Amino acid sequence: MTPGPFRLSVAQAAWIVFYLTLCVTPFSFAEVMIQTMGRWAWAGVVPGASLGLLALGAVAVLRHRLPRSSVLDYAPQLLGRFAGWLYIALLGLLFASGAGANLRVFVDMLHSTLNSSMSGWVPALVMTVLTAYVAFFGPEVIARVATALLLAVVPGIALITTLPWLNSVPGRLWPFWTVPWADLTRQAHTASAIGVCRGFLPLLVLAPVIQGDRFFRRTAAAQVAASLLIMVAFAIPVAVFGPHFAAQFRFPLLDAAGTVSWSWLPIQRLGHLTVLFWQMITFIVAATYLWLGAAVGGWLFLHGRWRPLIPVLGVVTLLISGPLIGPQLQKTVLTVWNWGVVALGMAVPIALALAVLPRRSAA
Amino acid sequence: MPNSGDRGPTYADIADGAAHLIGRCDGVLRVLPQADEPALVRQIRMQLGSSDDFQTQAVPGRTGLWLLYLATLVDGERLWAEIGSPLEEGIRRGEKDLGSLWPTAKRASTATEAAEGILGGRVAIVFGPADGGGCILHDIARQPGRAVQPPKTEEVIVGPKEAFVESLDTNLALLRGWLPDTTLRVEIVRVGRRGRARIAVTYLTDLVRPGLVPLVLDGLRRIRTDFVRTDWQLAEYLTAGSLTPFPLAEPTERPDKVAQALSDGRVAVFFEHSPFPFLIPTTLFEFQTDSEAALPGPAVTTFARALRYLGTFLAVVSPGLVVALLSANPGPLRPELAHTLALTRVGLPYPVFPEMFLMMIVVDIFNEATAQAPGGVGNALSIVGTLIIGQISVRARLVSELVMIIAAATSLGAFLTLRYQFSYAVRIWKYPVLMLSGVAGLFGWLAGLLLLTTHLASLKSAGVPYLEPLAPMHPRSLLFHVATRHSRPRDAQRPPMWEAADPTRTDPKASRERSPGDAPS
Repeated sequence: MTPGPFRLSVAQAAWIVFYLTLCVTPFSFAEVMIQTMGRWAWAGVVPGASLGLLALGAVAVLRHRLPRSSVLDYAPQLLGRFAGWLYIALLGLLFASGAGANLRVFVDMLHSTLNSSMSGWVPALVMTVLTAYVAFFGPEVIARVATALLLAVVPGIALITTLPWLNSVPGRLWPFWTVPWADLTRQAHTASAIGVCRGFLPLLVLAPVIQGDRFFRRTAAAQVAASLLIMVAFAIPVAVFGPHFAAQFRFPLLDAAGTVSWSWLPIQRLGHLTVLFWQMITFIVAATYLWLGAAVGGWLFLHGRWRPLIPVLGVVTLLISGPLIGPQLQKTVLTVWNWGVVALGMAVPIALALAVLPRRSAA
Repeated sequence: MPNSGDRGPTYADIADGAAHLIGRCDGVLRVLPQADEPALVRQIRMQLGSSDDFQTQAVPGRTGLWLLYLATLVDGERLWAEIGSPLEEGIRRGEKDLGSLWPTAKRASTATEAAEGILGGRVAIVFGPADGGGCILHDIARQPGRAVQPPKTEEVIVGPKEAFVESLDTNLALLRGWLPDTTLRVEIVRVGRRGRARIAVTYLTDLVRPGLVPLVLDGLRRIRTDFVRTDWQLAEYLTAGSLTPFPLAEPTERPDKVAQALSDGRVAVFFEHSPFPFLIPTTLFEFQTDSEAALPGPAVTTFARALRYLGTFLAVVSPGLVVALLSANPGPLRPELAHTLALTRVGLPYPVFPEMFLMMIVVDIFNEATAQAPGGVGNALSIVGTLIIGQISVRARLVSELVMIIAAATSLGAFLTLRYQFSYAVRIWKYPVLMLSGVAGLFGWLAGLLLLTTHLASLKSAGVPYLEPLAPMHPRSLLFHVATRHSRPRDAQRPPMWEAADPTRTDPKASRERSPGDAPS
């Protein structure tokens, strides 16, 4: 299945991977890291990046062995017709719900910072319409928007996460040999780390339209870079200010940055503005999942036509991201979603890659 | 020819192929044949009808020799000097082949071709059997129009001060003066069923992107309309009627700009009767790069461009940002600044959002009125705007000083772009950003910018993404073509977004090693 007349370069695909890796569910990641690892919370990125590289390698193998096919083409052939269709249907559900899940987290973040009095439906509706608008143009436009926003997102996050250093004790990061590495194998850590390696999921569907060489190197670099930024964004302030400080707040980055006063600019607290960077990141992530859900759904039900499904999935996204879903249900949805990434986005592609690997030696 | 009796052929008898040349006939057109009129003359006469400026003259002294022309289009002095006098002399000498008197004249093989030539200001000389028959077209068109003047919309302080005019031939001559290159090609098509305007597509064969010229020519040939009046109407046809306010073709009136664009691998489309050819493809950043090629050095260019980018950006974002910070999210502001801004709003009767919105509308009304009004009236309007809006409104506490400052900055920033058409897009897009900011504060402000970014990312000009080289990103081109520029000796690569067939412009090593006094190798 070729999802439309698109043409993505490897660099554009890498930027999509970068954003999806960067958009880690804050509460599941930060809370677990802080509670279990304390000042060494930054080390929790390592399992995620490692697992991500492993899954990315599987995607690279599949793309190399089956260059003009996406998962929608080879899954039924390699898994059998029923299992293949079931896998694709579950993948479609995962994508279709991904936008709503991510937007809901952002809406919660927005409420706790900028607009606590605004009804939750307003940001949910605005972001849903925006992401549906960009998803309507397809992955080529999503990739261009992602690239254009890079110049604002990356410097912004790097800047606001270096602010705590102005009021910090860098020596708290050392020494590295006292890191409790064994704690990283805990289930809660692993589940949270999965959120770091979700960036490669779109590549399963987009593989046939990505053109260019050095695929693995570029997308791996994007995934690792995003993981490092997460480390910089979340864990260093925690390490610097200490877990007791960060544990009191849901979004330690925001409040850690907010304690620094920019005396030479007319801005008192930067914490309010950091949510804007997450808005840009969530925008790309939600749009990508919206398009993926429509692409897979179109393949399943509409003979490859995916645009009519965008507004339908937009309604689903709005319902998931709006205030209808309570915090407990939201937590359950996100947990199921994260484990869905493990099963559908990691285990199965790795199995498929192993299945096609012997073909070269056989040839 | 159908038998129409002694009344001669009527309008209903005109063949389908000539019908498009008859523009203004109502009812039945009665065309009376003349004695001994050759069939070709009769066919041409039927195509062009009975206009009073259409002259058909049988030349005495030679059987079957006729002159046909439109008196309003030909130069009367040249008519005698280049046609009448040589004809008289040739007939007196008994010249056997009168057609050889005009060796450069074009031969017309059909009545339709001859009629088109007459409509273009040529004289059709129809020969009788004694001279071999046939028809030739000799160009003695009168060229009404203005002389080459300095550009009006692209101000040049130091640099060439010649701009295109309405005459297509003059414009092509100006271009060839800048590009005396053997690879320069001009392909002319006619557009408009009735207007039949000439459109010239120019390019360099060894540089233009493969497939671009056929794309443009195909777009021109598919135009089905009576009349195209301006080059922007033409550009709309070529861009498939896109609804975006951002121009997808870059107009210019400078020959040096067109020459530079062609040498980068782009195509220039000239429209007869317009001094503004447009360049295809184009990107967002081409409307910000300076046409002041004489700016000394990359540092000055970078400074000028930074000002333009900043001004344009502020024109779009500043109204919404101020509304968001003052009305919904004042938290980021320092207490001193918040206090000062609050004081400016004491006594105002309405919130900042409607105040800002109304002020933007009023400023745009004044900008539009000033632009459309004749020179003297425009100056008076500017004074009225400054006095009434600027001073009296603030004094009457109808608007605050901050909103006035933002309105002025927005207005100036919108016109910092180097193309007038682009400023409209900037002025239009500040409204969605402003309204979203009014509804949802800083979150809405950024949502407006994301909407604008998506819109720009969805645009393409002749297959080139509008945001290139930002997205798709070409870091080197982004740095040395958008943000700044190379020094000329180091400017070795053509911008990659035009996909020129030869990406290398020059040999930078040779340019650096050669001193000013050396002769070029």
